[in-house]
Amino acid sequence: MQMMKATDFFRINTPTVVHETIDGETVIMNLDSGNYYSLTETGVKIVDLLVPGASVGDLVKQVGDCYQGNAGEIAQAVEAFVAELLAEGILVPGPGTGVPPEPQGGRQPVATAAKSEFKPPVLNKYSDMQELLLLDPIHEVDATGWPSSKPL
Amino acid sequence: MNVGDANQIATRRQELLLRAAVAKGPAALAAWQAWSRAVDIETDLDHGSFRLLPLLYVNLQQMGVVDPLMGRLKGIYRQAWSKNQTLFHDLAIVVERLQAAGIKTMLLKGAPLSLLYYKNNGARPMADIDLLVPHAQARPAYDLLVAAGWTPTPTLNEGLLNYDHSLHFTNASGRELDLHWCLFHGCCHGDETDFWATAAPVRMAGVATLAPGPTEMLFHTVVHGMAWNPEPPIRWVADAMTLIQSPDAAIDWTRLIQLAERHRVGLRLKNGLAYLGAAFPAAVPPAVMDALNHLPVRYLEKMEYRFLMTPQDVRKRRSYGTFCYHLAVYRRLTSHGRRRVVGGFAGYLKWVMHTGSAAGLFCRLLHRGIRVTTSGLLNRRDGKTLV
Repeated sequence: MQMMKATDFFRINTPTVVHETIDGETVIMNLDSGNYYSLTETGVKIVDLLVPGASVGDLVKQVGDCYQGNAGEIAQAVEAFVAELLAEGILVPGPGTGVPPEPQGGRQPVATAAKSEFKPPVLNKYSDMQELLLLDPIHEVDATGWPSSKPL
Repeated sequence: MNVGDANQIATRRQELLLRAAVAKGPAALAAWQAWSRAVDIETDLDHGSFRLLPLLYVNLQQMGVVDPLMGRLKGIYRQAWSKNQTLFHDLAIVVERLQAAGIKTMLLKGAPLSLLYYKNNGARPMADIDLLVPHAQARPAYDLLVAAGWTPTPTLNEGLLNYDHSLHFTNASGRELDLHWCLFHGCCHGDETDFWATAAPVRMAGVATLAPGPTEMLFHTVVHGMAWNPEPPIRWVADAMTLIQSPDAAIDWTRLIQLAERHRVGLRLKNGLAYLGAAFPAAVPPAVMDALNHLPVRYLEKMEYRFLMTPQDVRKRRSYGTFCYHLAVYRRLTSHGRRRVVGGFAGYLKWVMHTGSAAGLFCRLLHRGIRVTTSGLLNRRDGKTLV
Protein backbone atom coordinates (compact mmCIF):
# COMPACT_ATOMS: atom_id res chain seq x y z
CA MET A 1 0.00 0.00 0.00
CA GLN A 2 1.23 3.47 -0.87
CA MET A 3 2.35 5.59 2.07
CA MET A 4 -0.30 8.11 3.13
CA LYS A 5 0.82 11.75 3.34
CA ALA A 6 -0.64 14.24 5.82
CA THR A 7 -1.59 16.48 2.89
CA ASP A 8 -3.55 13.78 1.01
CA PHE A 9 -7.24 14.64 0.70
CA PHE A 10 -10.09 12.17 0.66
CA ARG A 11 -13.82 12.37 0.17
CA ILE A 12 -16.78 10.00 0.44
CA ASN A 13 -17.24 8.14 -2.86
CA THR A 14 -20.69 9.58 -3.70
CA PRO A 15 -23.05 8.73 -5.34
CA THR A 16 -21.78 5.12 -5.32
CA VAL A 17 -21.50 5.24 -1.54
CA VAL A 18 -24.43 6.41 0.56
CA HIS A 19 -24.39 6.91 4.29
CA GLU A 20 -26.58 8.14 7.09
CA THR A 21 -26.07 8.67 10.79
CA ILE A 22 -28.92 7.81 13.07
CA ASP A 23 -28.95 7.53 16.81
CA GLY A 24 -25.17 7.41 17.20
CA GLU A 25 -24.54 4.93 14.39
CA THR A 26 -23.38 5.59 10.85
CA VAL A 27 -24.60 3.12 8.26
CA ILE A 28 -22.85 3.02 4.89
CA MET A 29 -23.67 1.20 1.67
CA ASN A 30 -21.42 0.72 -1.31
CA LEU A 31 -24.02 0.33 -4.04
CA ASP A 32 -21.51 -1.08 -6.53
CA SER A 33 -20.10 -3.83 -4.33
CA GLY A 34 -23.33 -4.40 -2.39
CA ASN A 35 -21.47 -4.23 0.92
CA TYR A 36 -23.10 -2.73 4.01
CA TYR A 37 -21.10 -1.22 6.86
CA SER A 38 -21.82 0.05 10.33
CA LEU A 39 -19.76 2.40 12.46
CA THR A 40 -20.15 3.59 16.02
CA GLU A 41 -18.26 5.92 18.38
CA THR A 42 -14.92 7.08 16.91
CA GLY A 43 -15.84 5.80 13.45
CA VAL A 44 -18.93 8.04 13.38
CA LYS A 45 -16.81 11.07 14.33
CA ILE A 46 -14.23 10.37 11.62
CA VAL A 47 -16.87 9.99 8.87
CA ASP A 48 -18.48 13.24 10.08
CA LEU A 49 -15.15 14.99 9.67
CA LEU A 50 -14.62 13.39 6.25
CA VAL A 51 -17.94 14.40 4.73
CA PRO A 52 -16.81 17.73 3.28
CA GLY A 53 -13.40 16.31 2.33
CA ALA A 54 -10.43 16.40 4.65
CA SER A 55 -6.70 15.84 4.59
CA VAL A 56 -5.26 13.05 6.67
CA GLY A 57 -3.27 15.64 8.65
CA ASP A 58 -6.43 17.63 9.51
CA LEU A 59 -8.26 14.48 10.41
CA VAL A 60 -5.57 13.25 12.77
CA LYS A 61 -5.40 16.66 14.45
CA GLN A 62 -9.16 16.98 14.88
CA VAL A 63 -9.62 13.46 16.17
CA GLY A 64 -6.75 14.14 18.60
CA ASP A 65 -8.57 17.31 19.76
CA CYS A 66 -11.69 15.31 20.53
CA TYR A 67 -10.27 12.34 22.40
CA GLN A 68 -7.80 11.58 25.16
CA GLY A 69 -4.94 9.29 24.25
CA ASN A 70 -1.43 8.94 22.92
CA ALA A 71 -1.04 11.20 19.86
CA GLY A 72 1.08 8.65 17.99
CA GLU A 73 -1.43 5.87 18.56
CA ILE A 74 -4.33 8.09 17.48
CA ALA A 75 -2.51 9.06 14.27
CA GLN A 76 -1.70 5.44 13.50
CA ALA A 77 -5.29 4.29 14.12
CA VAL A 78 -6.82 7.10 12.04
CA GLU A 79 -4.45 6.45 9.14
CA ALA A 80 -5.17 2.71 9.26
CA PHE A 81 -8.91 3.42 9.31
CA VAL A 82 -8.69 5.78 6.32
CA ALA A 83 -6.69 3.12 4.47
CA GLU A 84 -9.43 0.56 5.22
CA LEU A 85 -12.15 2.93 3.97
CA LEU A 86 -10.12 3.48 0.80
CA ALA A 87 -9.70 -0.24 0.27
CA GLU A 88 -13.46 -0.74 0.61
CA GLY A 89 -14.16 2.01 -1.94
CA ILE A 90 -15.94 4.10 0.68
CA LEU A 91 -13.41 6.88 0.26
CA VAL A 92 -11.67 8.05 -2.87
CA PRO A 93 -8.75 10.45 -3.18
CA GLY A 94 -10.15 13.85 -3.96
CA PRO A 95 -9.78 17.50 -3.33
CA GLY A 96 -11.17 18.85 -0.09
CA THR A 97 -12.98 22.12 0.30
CA GLY A 98 -9.75 23.87 1.22
CA VAL A 99 -11.24 24.60 4.60
CA PRO A 100 -10.66 22.09 7.37
CA PRO A 101 -14.02 20.68 8.42
CA GLU A 102 -15.72 22.07 11.49
CA PRO A 103 -15.81 19.63 14.33
CA GLN A 104 -19.28 19.00 15.77
CA GLY A 105 -20.15 21.67 18.32
CA GLY A 106 -17.84 24.29 16.82
CA ARG A 107 -14.12 24.86 16.57
CA GLN A 108 -13.40 25.55 20.24
CA PRO A 109 -10.87 23.13 21.70
CA VAL A 110 -12.58 20.43 23.67
CA ALA A 111 -11.84 20.72 27.39
CA THR A 112 -9.69 17.85 28.58
CA ALA A 113 -12.23 16.90 31.22
CA ALA A 114 -14.94 16.47 28.55
CA LYS A 115 -12.79 14.30 26.29
CA SER A 116 -13.52 10.63 26.18
CA GLU A 117 -10.88 7.94 25.85
CA PHE A 118 -9.86 7.25 22.24
CA LYS A 119 -10.94 3.83 21.00
CA PRO A 120 -9.68 2.75 17.59
CA PRO A 121 -12.56 2.88 15.08
CA VAL A 122 -14.03 -0.44 13.96
CA LEU A 123 -15.62 -0.93 10.55
CA ASN A 124 -18.29 -3.64 10.81
CA LYS A 125 -18.79 -5.10 7.36
CA TYR A 126 -21.70 -7.16 6.04
CA SER A 127 -21.29 -8.69 2.59
CA ASP A 128 -23.94 -10.16 0.31
CA MET A 129 -26.56 -7.46 0.37
CA GLN A 130 -29.04 -9.55 -1.63
CA GLU A 131 -29.17 -12.11 1.15
CA LEU A 132 -29.26 -9.47 3.88
CA LEU A 133 -32.21 -7.73 2.27
CA LEU A 134 -34.16 -10.99 2.38
CA LEU A 135 -33.53 -11.47 6.10
CA ASP A 136 -36.76 -11.20 8.13
CA PRO A 137 -36.05 -8.14 10.31
CA ILE A 138 -38.50 -9.25 13.00
CA HIS A 139 -38.01 -12.99 13.43
CA GLU A 140 -34.48 -13.67 12.19
CA VAL A 141 -32.50 -10.97 14.00
CA ASP A 142 -31.10 -10.46 17.48
CA ALA A 143 -32.16 -7.68 19.88
CA THR A 144 -29.90 -5.13 18.14
CA GLY A 145 -31.90 -5.62 14.95
CA TRP A 146 -31.12 -6.08 11.26
CA PRO A 147 -28.54 -6.88 9.90
CA SER A 148 -27.40 -8.83 12.98
CA SER A 149 -28.99 -12.22 12.54
CA LYS A 150 -30.11 -14.37 15.45
CA PRO A 151 -27.53 -16.99 16.43
CA LEU A 152 -28.52 -20.42 15.12
CA MET B 1 -68.34 8.80 5.58
CA ASN B 2 -69.90 5.95 7.48
CA VAL B 3 -68.30 3.79 10.16
CA GLY B 4 -68.01 0.85 7.76
CA ASP B 5 -65.83 2.89 5.40
CA ALA B 6 -63.60 4.05 8.27
CA ASN B 7 -63.10 0.43 9.33
CA GLN B 8 -62.10 -0.42 5.79
CA ILE B 9 -59.33 2.18 5.99
CA ALA B 10 -57.81 1.22 9.35
CA THR B 11 -58.60 -1.02 12.30
CA ARG B 12 -58.33 0.33 15.85
CA ARG B 13 -54.81 -1.12 16.21
CA GLN B 14 -53.70 0.26 12.86
CA GLU B 15 -55.02 3.66 13.88
CA LEU B 16 -52.96 3.55 17.09
CA LEU B 17 -49.89 2.69 15.06
CA LEU B 18 -50.59 5.50 12.61
CA ARG B 19 -50.90 7.97 15.47
CA ALA B 20 -47.70 6.70 17.11
CA ALA B 21 -45.85 7.04 13.81
CA VAL B 22 -47.25 10.36 12.59
CA ALA B 23 -48.41 12.45 15.56
CA LYS B 24 -46.05 14.38 17.82
CA GLY B 25 -45.62 14.64 21.58
CA PRO B 26 -47.98 13.10 24.17
CA ALA B 27 -50.55 11.95 21.59
CA ALA B 28 -47.89 9.89 19.81
CA LEU B 29 -46.46 8.51 23.05
CA ALA B 30 -49.88 7.47 24.37
CA ALA B 31 -50.67 5.76 21.06
CA TRP B 32 -47.27 3.99 21.08
CA GLN B 33 -47.85 2.68 24.60
CA ALA B 34 -51.35 1.46 23.79
CA TRP B 35 -50.22 -0.13 20.50
CA SER B 36 -47.18 -1.88 21.99
CA ARG B 37 -49.37 -3.30 24.77
CA ALA B 38 -51.95 -4.56 22.29
CA VAL B 39 -49.69 -5.93 19.56
CA ASP B 40 -47.02 -8.60 19.62
CA ILE B 41 -44.91 -7.76 16.56
CA GLU B 42 -43.83 -11.39 16.25
CA THR B 43 -47.35 -12.67 15.78
CA ASP B 44 -49.91 -9.88 15.31
CA LEU B 45 -48.51 -7.72 12.57
CA ASP B 46 -50.17 -7.28 9.17
CA HIS B 47 -47.98 -6.23 6.25
CA GLY B 48 -49.50 -2.76 6.05
CA SER B 49 -48.55 -2.14 9.69
CA PHE B 50 -45.08 -3.61 9.15
CA ARG B 51 -44.44 -1.00 6.48
CA LEU B 52 -45.12 1.77 8.98
CA LEU B 53 -42.48 0.56 11.45
CA PRO B 54 -39.54 2.52 9.98
CA LEU B 55 -41.55 5.74 10.34
CA LEU B 56 -42.56 4.69 13.85
CA TYR B 57 -38.89 4.17 14.71
CA VAL B 58 -37.93 7.65 13.43
CA ASN B 59 -40.73 9.28 15.41
CA LEU B 60 -39.96 7.38 18.63
CA GLN B 61 -36.23 8.00 18.26
CA GLN B 62 -36.84 11.74 17.85
CA MET B 63 -38.91 11.68 21.05
CA GLY B 64 -36.14 9.84 22.91
CA VAL B 65 -38.21 6.72 23.62
CA VAL B 66 -36.31 3.93 25.36
CA ASP B 67 -37.84 0.50 24.89
CA PRO B 68 -36.57 -3.06 24.39
CA LEU B 69 -38.22 -3.06 20.94
CA MET B 70 -36.16 -0.10 19.72
CA GLY B 71 -33.26 -2.33 18.59
CA ARG B 72 -35.45 -4.34 16.26
CA LEU B 73 -37.33 -1.23 15.09
CA LYS B 74 -34.00 0.40 14.26
CA GLY B 75 -33.05 -2.72 12.32
CA ILE B 76 -36.31 -2.52 10.32
CA TYR B 77 -35.46 1.12 9.59
CA ARG B 78 -31.91 0.18 8.50
CA GLN B 79 -33.24 -2.50 6.17
CA ALA B 80 -35.81 -0.13 4.63
CA TRP B 81 -33.06 2.47 4.16
CA SER B 82 -30.82 -0.07 2.43
CA LYS B 83 -33.61 -1.33 0.16
CA ASN B 84 -34.61 2.19 -0.80
CA GLN B 85 -31.01 3.15 -1.54
CA THR B 86 -30.58 0.21 -3.91
CA LEU B 87 -33.87 1.10 -5.62
CA PHE B 88 -32.89 4.77 -5.99
CA HIS B 89 -29.48 3.81 -7.35
CA ASP B 90 -30.77 1.33 -9.95
CA LEU B 91 -33.78 3.38 -10.98
CA ALA B 92 -31.79 6.59 -11.33
CA ILE B 93 -29.92 4.84 -14.16
CA VAL B 94 -33.27 4.07 -15.84
CA VAL B 95 -34.46 7.66 -15.46
CA GLU B 96 -31.20 8.93 -16.93
CA ARG B 97 -31.54 6.61 -19.96
CA LEU B 98 -35.15 7.60 -20.58
CA GLN B 99 -34.28 11.27 -20.38
CA ALA B 100 -31.30 10.80 -22.71
CA ALA B 101 -33.78 9.34 -25.21
CA GLY B 102 -35.91 12.49 -24.94
CA ILE B 103 -38.59 10.93 -22.73
CA LYS B 104 -39.98 13.11 -19.95
CA THR B 105 -40.11 11.44 -16.54
CA MET B 106 -41.90 12.12 -13.28
CA LEU B 107 -41.61 10.09 -10.10
CA LEU B 108 -44.92 9.19 -8.45
CA LYS B 109 -45.88 7.94 -4.98
CA GLY B 110 -43.18 6.71 -2.58
CA ALA B 111 -39.95 7.97 -4.14
CA PRO B 112 -40.85 11.67 -4.40
CA LEU B 113 -42.66 11.56 -1.04
CA SER B 114 -39.56 10.09 0.54
CA LEU B 115 -37.12 12.47 -1.12
CA LEU B 116 -39.10 15.70 -0.80
CA TYR B 117 -41.38 15.41 2.22
CA TYR B 118 -40.28 12.57 4.52
CA LYS B 119 -36.75 13.89 3.82
CA ASN B 120 -35.50 10.56 5.01
CA ASN B 121 -34.46 7.64 2.86
CA GLY B 122 -35.56 4.93 5.28
CA ALA B 123 -38.82 6.12 6.85
CA ARG B 124 -41.00 5.22 3.87
CA PRO B 125 -40.32 1.68 2.58
CA MET B 126 -40.91 1.04 -1.10
CA ALA B 127 -41.32 -2.15 -3.08
CA ASP B 128 -40.85 -0.40 -6.39
CA ILE B 129 -40.48 2.96 -8.08
CA ASP B 130 -43.40 4.51 -9.96
CA LEU B 131 -42.46 6.46 -13.02
CA LEU B 132 -44.85 8.55 -15.14
CA VAL B 133 -44.11 9.30 -18.79
CA PRO B 134 -46.36 11.19 -21.23
CA HIS B 135 -48.93 8.91 -22.86
CA ALA B 136 -47.42 9.53 -26.29
CA GLN B 137 -44.02 8.37 -25.02
CA ALA B 138 -45.20 5.20 -23.28
CA ARG B 139 -44.32 2.93 -26.20
CA PRO B 140 -40.74 4.22 -26.66
CA ALA B 141 -40.26 4.12 -22.88
CA TYR B 142 -41.47 0.51 -22.85
CA ASP B 143 -39.11 -0.44 -25.71
CA LEU B 144 -36.18 1.21 -23.97
CA LEU B 145 -36.87 -0.59 -20.68
CA VAL B 146 -37.14 -3.96 -22.43
CA ALA B 147 -33.87 -3.30 -24.28
CA ALA B 148 -32.27 -2.46 -20.91
CA GLY B 149 -33.17 -5.89 -19.53
CA TRP B 150 -36.41 -5.10 -17.70
CA THR B 151 -39.18 -7.70 -18.01
CA PRO B 152 -42.77 -6.43 -18.29
CA THR B 153 -45.81 -8.23 -16.90
CA PRO B 154 -47.75 -8.51 -19.16
CA THR B 155 -46.33 -7.26 -22.46
CA LEU B 156 -47.61 -3.95 -23.73
CA ASN B 157 -50.54 -3.93 -26.15
CA GLU B 158 -52.97 -1.37 -27.51
CA GLY B 159 -55.66 -2.38 -25.00
CA LEU B 160 -53.35 -1.62 -22.09
CA LEU B 161 -52.33 1.70 -23.59
CA ASN B 162 -55.94 2.67 -24.26
CA TYR B 163 -57.64 1.44 -21.13
CA ASP B 164 -55.06 0.88 -18.39
CA HIS B 165 -52.64 3.22 -16.69
CA SER B 166 -49.40 1.37 -15.92
CA LEU B 167 -47.28 -1.71 -16.43
CA HIS B 168 -45.10 -3.57 -13.94
CA PHE B 169 -41.44 -4.42 -14.71
CA THR B 170 -38.76 -6.37 -12.88
CA ASN B 171 -35.06 -6.72 -13.62
CA ALA B 172 -32.54 -9.52 -13.03
CA SER B 173 -31.59 -8.09 -9.62
CA GLY B 174 -35.21 -8.23 -8.50
CA ARG B 175 -35.77 -4.47 -8.61
CA GLU B 176 -39.30 -3.44 -9.52
CA LEU B 177 -40.64 -0.54 -11.54
CA ASP B 178 -44.14 0.58 -12.50
CA LEU B 179 -44.21 2.51 -15.75
CA HIS B 180 -47.26 4.82 -15.77
CA TRP B 181 -48.69 6.67 -18.71
CA CYS B 182 -51.78 7.78 -16.75
CA LEU B 183 -52.10 8.80 -13.11
CA PHE B 184 -54.48 6.10 -11.95
CA HIS B 185 -56.77 3.45 -13.35
CA GLY B 186 -59.55 5.05 -15.34
CA CYS B 187 -57.87 8.43 -15.61
CA CYS B 188 -58.56 10.19 -18.88
CA HIS B 189 -55.42 10.41 -21.02
CA GLY B 190 -54.35 14.01 -21.03
CA ASP B 191 -55.78 14.73 -17.59
CA GLU B 192 -52.29 14.48 -16.16
CA THR B 193 -51.34 17.63 -18.07
CA ASP B 194 -51.83 19.65 -14.88
CA PHE B 195 -49.37 17.37 -13.13
CA TRP B 196 -46.68 18.11 -15.70
CA ALA B 197 -47.41 21.84 -15.59
CA THR B 198 -47.02 22.11 -11.81
CA ALA B 199 -44.25 19.51 -11.39
CA ALA B 200 -41.43 20.18 -8.95
CA PRO B 201 -37.77 19.26 -9.44
CA VAL B 202 -36.38 16.33 -7.47
CA ARG B 203 -33.04 14.50 -7.46
CA MET B 204 -32.86 10.75 -7.03
CA ALA B 205 -29.36 9.32 -6.52
CA GLY B 206 -27.92 12.41 -8.15
CA VAL B 207 -30.23 12.31 -11.20
CA ALA B 208 -32.58 15.23 -11.76
CA THR B 209 -36.19 14.47 -12.65
CA LEU B 210 -39.67 15.71 -11.71
CA ALA B 211 -42.18 15.09 -8.95
CA PRO B 212 -45.83 16.17 -8.71
CA GLY B 213 -46.41 19.45 -6.91
CA PRO B 214 -47.50 19.02 -3.27
CA THR B 215 -51.22 19.54 -3.97
CA GLU B 216 -51.14 17.07 -6.85
CA MET B 217 -49.16 14.64 -4.68
CA LEU B 218 -51.79 14.83 -1.91
CA PHE B 219 -54.55 14.36 -4.48
CA HIS B 220 -52.84 11.30 -5.96
CA THR B 221 -52.05 9.86 -2.52
CA VAL B 222 -55.64 10.03 -1.29
CA VAL B 223 -57.30 8.95 -4.54
CA HIS B 224 -54.93 6.03 -4.97
CA GLY B 225 -55.20 5.05 -1.31
CA MET B 226 -58.98 5.02 -1.13
CA ALA B 227 -59.52 1.53 -2.48
CA TRP B 228 -59.64 -1.88 -0.92
CA ASN B 229 -56.30 -3.67 -1.08
CA PRO B 230 -55.27 -7.16 0.07
CA GLU B 231 -52.44 -5.43 1.97
CA PRO B 232 -54.04 -2.92 4.37
CA PRO B 233 -53.36 0.35 2.50
CA ILE B 234 -52.95 2.44 5.66
CA ARG B 235 -49.63 3.82 4.45
CA TRP B 236 -51.48 6.42 2.39
CA VAL B 237 -52.69 7.96 5.65
CA ALA B 238 -49.09 8.42 6.83
CA ASP B 239 -48.12 9.78 3.39
CA ALA B 240 -50.98 12.26 3.38
CA MET B 241 -50.27 13.41 6.94
CA THR B 242 -46.56 13.80 6.18
CA LEU B 243 -47.46 16.01 3.22
CA ILE B 244 -49.99 18.07 5.15
CA GLN B 245 -47.60 18.58 8.08
CA SER B 246 -44.55 19.33 5.92
CA PRO B 247 -43.38 22.95 6.02
CA ASP B 248 -42.22 22.41 2.42
CA ALA B 249 -45.65 21.43 1.11
CA ALA B 250 -48.02 24.37 0.76
CA ILE B 251 -51.28 22.62 -0.07
CA ASP B 252 -53.59 24.64 -2.30
CA TRP B 253 -56.90 23.29 -0.98
CA THR B 254 -58.98 25.10 -3.60
CA ARG B 255 -56.96 23.49 -6.34
CA LEU B 256 -57.25 20.12 -4.61
CA ILE B 257 -61.03 20.35 -4.82
CA GLN B 258 -60.81 21.44 -8.46
CA LEU B 259 -58.66 18.40 -9.23
CA ALA B 260 -61.24 16.13 -7.59
CA GLU B 261 -64.03 17.67 -9.66
CA ARG B 262 -62.05 17.50 -12.85
CA HIS B 263 -61.13 13.85 -12.37
CA ARG B 264 -64.62 12.96 -11.04
CA VAL B 265 -63.26 11.53 -7.80
CA GLY B 266 -64.81 13.97 -5.35
CA LEU B 267 -66.29 11.17 -3.26
CA ARG B 268 -62.97 9.38 -2.84
CA LEU B 269 -61.24 12.61 -1.88
CA LYS B 270 -64.04 13.66 0.46
CA ASN B 271 -64.10 10.36 2.33
CA GLY B 272 -60.32 10.14 2.45
CA LEU B 273 -59.98 13.63 3.89
CA ALA B 274 -62.92 13.01 6.25
CA TYR B 275 -61.01 10.03 7.61
CA LEU B 276 -57.85 12.12 8.06
CA GLY B 277 -59.83 14.86 9.79
CA ALA B 278 -61.41 12.37 12.19
CA ALA B 279 -58.18 10.53 13.00
CA PHE B 280 -55.95 13.61 13.15
CA PRO B 281 -57.85 16.70 14.29
CA ALA B 282 -56.88 19.89 12.42
CA ALA B 283 -55.44 17.93 9.50
CA VAL B 284 -58.00 19.33 7.07
CA PRO B 285 -59.45 22.86 7.21
CA PRO B 286 -63.21 22.74 7.98
CA ALA B 287 -63.95 24.96 4.95
CA VAL B 288 -62.39 22.32 2.70
CA MET B 289 -64.59 19.59 4.14
CA ASP B 290 -67.57 21.87 3.75
CA ALA B 291 -66.76 22.49 0.09
CA LEU B 292 -66.24 18.77 -0.54
CA ASN B 293 -69.55 17.98 1.14
CA HIS B 294 -71.25 20.24 -1.38
CA LEU B 295 -69.64 18.67 -4.43
CA PRO B 296 -72.23 16.96 -6.61
CA VAL B 297 -71.63 13.21 -6.74
CA ARG B 298 -72.94 11.35 -9.75
CA TYR B 299 -74.61 7.97 -9.40
CA LEU B 300 -71.84 6.19 -11.29
CA GLU B 301 -69.19 7.76 -9.08
CA LYS B 302 -71.00 6.44 -6.00
CA MET B 303 -71.20 2.97 -7.50
CA GLU B 304 -67.53 3.10 -8.51
CA TYR B 305 -66.56 4.13 -4.98
CA ARG B 306 -68.62 1.35 -3.44
CA PHE B 307 -66.99 -1.15 -5.80
CA LEU B 308 -63.47 0.09 -5.01
CA MET B 309 -63.98 -0.17 -1.26
CA THR B 310 -65.29 -3.75 -1.58
CA PRO B 311 -62.94 -6.71 -1.03
CA GLN B 312 -61.89 -8.50 -4.21
CA ASP B 313 -63.72 -11.77 -3.47
CA VAL B 314 -66.99 -9.93 -2.79
CA ARG B 315 -66.65 -7.80 -5.94
CA LYS B 316 -66.89 -10.92 -8.10
CA ARG B 317 -70.39 -11.59 -6.82
CA ARG B 318 -71.62 -8.10 -7.60
CA SER B 319 -72.32 -8.08 -11.30
CA TYR B 320 -74.31 -4.85 -11.35
CA GLY B 321 -71.70 -3.08 -9.20
CA THR B 322 -68.93 -4.37 -11.46
CA PHE B 323 -70.80 -3.20 -14.53
CA CYS B 324 -71.30 0.27 -13.02
CA TYR B 325 -67.63 0.43 -12.04
CA HIS B 326 -66.52 -0.30 -15.59
CA LEU B 327 -69.03 2.16 -16.97
CA ALA B 328 -67.70 4.83 -14.60
CA VAL B 329 -64.12 4.08 -15.67
CA TYR B 330 -65.10 4.16 -19.32
CA ARG B 331 -66.98 7.45 -18.87
CA ARG B 332 -63.91 8.98 -17.27
CA LEU B 333 -61.61 7.61 -19.95
CA THR B 334 -63.70 9.32 -22.59
CA SER B 335 -64.49 12.46 -20.61
CA HIS B 336 -63.80 16.03 -21.72
CA GLY B 337 -64.24 14.91 -25.35
CA ARG B 338 -60.48 14.50 -25.56
CA ARG B 339 -60.31 11.01 -26.82
CA ARG B 340 -62.27 8.57 -28.87
CA VAL B 341 -61.97 5.02 -27.69
CA VAL B 342 -61.89 2.50 -30.52
CA GLY B 343 -64.88 0.17 -30.29
CA GLY B 344 -66.68 2.25 -27.66
CA PHE B 345 -67.83 0.70 -24.37
CA ALA B 346 -68.18 -2.73 -26.01
CA GLY B 347 -64.53 -2.53 -27.03
CA TYR B 348 -63.59 -1.63 -23.48
CA LEU B 349 -65.62 -4.55 -22.08
CA LYS B 350 -64.02 -6.93 -24.57
CA TRP B 351 -60.64 -5.88 -23.24
CA VAL B 352 -61.74 -6.18 -19.60
CA MET B 353 -63.16 -9.65 -20.16
CA HIS B 354 -60.25 -10.81 -22.31
CA THR B 355 -62.39 -11.69 -25.28
CA GLY B 356 -61.61 -10.78 -28.86
CA SER B 357 -65.07 -10.66 -30.43
CA ALA B 358 -68.54 -9.29 -29.83
CA ALA B 359 -69.92 -12.86 -29.76
CA GLY B 360 -67.33 -13.84 -27.16
CA LEU B 361 -68.26 -10.82 -25.06
CA PHE B 362 -71.97 -11.72 -25.27
CA CYS B 363 -71.26 -15.33 -24.21
CA ARG B 364 -69.10 -14.22 -21.27
CA LEU B 365 -71.70 -11.73 -20.04
CA LEU B 366 -74.44 -14.34 -20.38
CA HIS B 367 -72.36 -16.95 -18.58
CA ARG B 368 -71.53 -14.57 -15.74
CA GLY B 369 -75.17 -13.50 -15.44
CA ILE B 370 -76.34 -17.11 -15.16
CA ARG B 371 -73.60 -17.96 -12.65
CA VAL B 372 -74.38 -15.01 -10.39
CA THR B 373 -78.14 -15.53 -10.58
CA THR B 374 -77.79 -19.24 -9.76
CA SER B 375 -75.43 -18.51 -6.88
CA GLY B 376 -77.87 -15.90 -5.56
CA LEU B 377 -80.81 -18.30 -5.74
CA LEU B 378 -78.86 -21.08 -4.03
CA ASN B 379 -77.74 -18.74 -1.26
CA ARG B 380 -81.31 -17.56 -0.76
CA ARG B 381 -82.56 -21.17 -0.61
CA ASP B 382 -79.87 -21.94 1.99
CA GLY B 383 -80.94 -18.94 4.05
CA LYS B 384 -77.74 -16.94 3.35
CA THR B 385 -77.81 -13.31 2.37
CA LEU B 386 -76.02 -12.48 -0.82
CA VAL B 387 -73.42 -9.88 0.06
